Amino acid sequence: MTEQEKIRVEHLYFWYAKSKEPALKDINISIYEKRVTALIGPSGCGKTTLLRCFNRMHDLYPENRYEGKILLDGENILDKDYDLIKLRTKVGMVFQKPTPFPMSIFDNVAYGLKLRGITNKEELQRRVEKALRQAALWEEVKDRLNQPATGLSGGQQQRLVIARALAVEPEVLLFDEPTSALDPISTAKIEELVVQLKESVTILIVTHNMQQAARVSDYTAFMYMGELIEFDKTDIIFTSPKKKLTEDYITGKFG
Amino acid sequence: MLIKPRLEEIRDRLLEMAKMAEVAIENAVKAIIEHNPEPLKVVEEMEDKIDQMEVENESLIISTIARFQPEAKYLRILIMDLFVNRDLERIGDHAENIKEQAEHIIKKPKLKEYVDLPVMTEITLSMVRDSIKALSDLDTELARDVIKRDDKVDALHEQIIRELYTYMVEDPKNIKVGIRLIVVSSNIERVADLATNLAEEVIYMKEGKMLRHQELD
Repeated sequence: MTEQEKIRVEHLYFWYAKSKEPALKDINISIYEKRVTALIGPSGCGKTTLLRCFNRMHDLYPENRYEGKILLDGENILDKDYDLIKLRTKVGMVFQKPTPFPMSIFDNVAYGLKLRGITNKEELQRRVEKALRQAALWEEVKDRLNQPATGLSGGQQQRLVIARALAVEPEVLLFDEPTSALDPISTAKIEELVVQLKESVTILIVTHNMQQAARVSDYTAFMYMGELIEFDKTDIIFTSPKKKLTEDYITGKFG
Repeated sequence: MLIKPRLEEIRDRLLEMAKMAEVAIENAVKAIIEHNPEPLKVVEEMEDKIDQMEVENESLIISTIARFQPEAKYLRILIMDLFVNRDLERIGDHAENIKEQAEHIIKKPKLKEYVDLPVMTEITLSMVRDSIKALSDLDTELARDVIKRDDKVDALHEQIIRELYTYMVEDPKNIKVGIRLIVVSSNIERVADLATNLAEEVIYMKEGKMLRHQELD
C-alpha cells in the first residue's frame, strides 16, 4: 500500500479566543489520500478542535488563533490569503446531528451546486442522483425527491447531509461524531458508507466510539490534552500501540 | 458488515496456505517413493512461503479480533482461524521433517518396494484436502468423515513399524534406512492428526461443538 500525503500538519497550535492555554499543542500529522483517518481520545483532548482546523471553521470567531501550517496538496490553508470558498469546496463536513435544510430532498443536495452557479436542470438532476447514490440513499428517496427533507428518519437525514457534501465533489470529508445521534442499524450503514467513500475522497473522522474508529479507519490518531500522543496504522494502534497512554486509553484504564 | 471482507480475506489466505502444505507433503513422500531428489525442491519452496504466511495471517487475525470485537459465529470463526493457521504451519513443518529423512533415504539403495507408505500418504492427503474443503464450504458432514479416516492412518502406521522391524531384525544393515522410514511414517501420522484437528475446528466454527479428545457419536 503506497501512501500519498493529502494533508500535512506542521507544528500546529490553536488558541480559542481569550484563552492563554493552547487547545492544540504542536500537532504534526500526515493525512493520507483516499484513506480513513480516525481521531480518538477522551473528551476535551482536542480531536474536534483539530478536525475543525481542516476547513477553518474556527474562523467564525475572529479572536481564535492558529499557529503553524496545514498543507493541503502542499498549500498552507492557514494563510490569510487562502480562499475560504475554495477550501470549503475541497473540504466538506458532516456534523454530529443531521442538519438538513428546511427544503426538499432534491434542493438540499442541489444547494451547493446552485451556489456554485450550476443552473442547468439536467446537470443538477444528474449530479443530485449521483450524490444520493454515493450516499446509499437514492433507492430510498428516488420517488419522493420533492418532499421535505425533514420527513426523513435520522439515519436517512445523515446520509442526505453526506450526499449534500458529496454533490460538490470534495476531496476531503470531515466527519464529526457522525453516528452519535443514530440507532445501531443507521450507524452500521454510515460506517459502511464511510468505508466505501474512501474510494473517491480522503476522510477524517472524529469519534468518541473507539470501536467505530477501529472498524472504519485505516489510520488512527490518539490525542490527549491537546497533544497528539500516537499516530499509526489502525491495526497497530489497536493491537500493539507504542505508547503506554494509548494502551491505557484503548483498554479503558483511563482516569 | 465491515468484518465480512476481512473474514473472506483470511479464509482465502488459509486455503492458499493449505494448498501449499498439501503440495509440500505430497512431494516430500514422492521423493522417497520414486527414489528421486527432484520433488524435494518444491518442499523447500512451499515451506518458506508457508512460514511467511503463518506470521502474516496471525497478525491479520489478531488485528481483526481487536478491531471488530467479534461475537458468537464471528468469534468462533476467528479463533478457529488462528488454530487452522497454526495447524497448517505444522503440516508444513512435517513436510520439512520428511524431506530431511528423504535426503538420507534416497542416498541408499531401496530397502523394499513401498506398499503401505503410498496408501497411508494418500489417505492422509485426502484428509488434508477434505478438511480444507470442509473449511471452505463449512461442511461439517465432510469434516466428520475426515475424522473417521484417522483410524486407518494409525493402523497403517502400526503396520509399517511392524514390517520394518522384521527387515531390521533380518539384517542390521537395514537399520539405518529402516529407522528413517519409521520417522517418515510418524510424520505422516502426525499430519493426519492435524487434518483431524482442522476438521474439528470446522465443526466448532459451524456448530459451536468442541470435539477434541472425544469419540465421534
